[in-house]
Amino acid sequence: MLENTVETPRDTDVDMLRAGTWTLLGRLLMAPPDRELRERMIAIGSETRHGDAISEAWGRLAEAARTADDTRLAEEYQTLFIGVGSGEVTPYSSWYLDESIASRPLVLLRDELVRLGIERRADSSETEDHAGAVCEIMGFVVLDEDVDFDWQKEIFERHVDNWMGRLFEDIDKAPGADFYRAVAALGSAFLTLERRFYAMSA
Amino acid sequence: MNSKEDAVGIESRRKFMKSMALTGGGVAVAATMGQASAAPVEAEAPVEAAATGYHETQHIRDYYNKAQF
Repeated sequence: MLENTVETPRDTDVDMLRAGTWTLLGRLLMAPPDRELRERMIAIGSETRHGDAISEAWGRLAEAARTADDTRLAEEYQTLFIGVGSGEVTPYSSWYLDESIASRPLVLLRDELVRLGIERRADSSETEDHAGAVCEIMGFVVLDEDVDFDWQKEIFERHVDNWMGRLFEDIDKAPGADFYRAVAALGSAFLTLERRFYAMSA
Repeated sequence: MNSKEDAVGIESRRKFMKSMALTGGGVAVAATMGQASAAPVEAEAPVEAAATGYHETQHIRDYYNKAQF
């Protein structure tokens, strides 16, 4: 099983950027960022180019990281995500697609993961349809040369694009969101970019 | 912001994203085959030398560059 080092086949520049963004979103949705990750986000700079959604989102995220601290982030994450039914948002595809927990969308995703050769980590407390896990999965998929374009597009449409945008909208509207509004902005802008990417590449 | 500063900012984002791709997430899920059995990649591998599993076209690359990724 892989730990924290991903070995990949040779990939394009674009694929690396896409996989990195999926991985970052996954990391942020699974847990609040620690100081090291925040410092790396700050280092990307807060300059924004007006009218460019993804650029503005990067800037917003860097600025949010600059003003965040561990205590407030832990409280915000707890308020937003922890506890099924008790957080302000419920970040699972089963919830968004089936209005239940660990239901058919999770079953379908697990079937897909068997074909992909991806499995839930034994030490993970979250099911595979958690938004953070789904983003991690996309990070793997983008770099996996065994997953051709059509399959990659199907995975995006079946397990991501049909619900994750609504999750980011809900995070943006959640009363307890502060730092995570910036994460939602990046997620929304990136989903738009990915949607256009798949449409353009068809 | 001038174009030089703009370019520096974009480059820093790109390096950050590539490092995220290489270190991976691995918090909730892990690959058991496919990537796991493949050879490691260098972070700055040239695009021209890359092998792709799908349609890699210049306009896609241009699109991502234009989007200030």
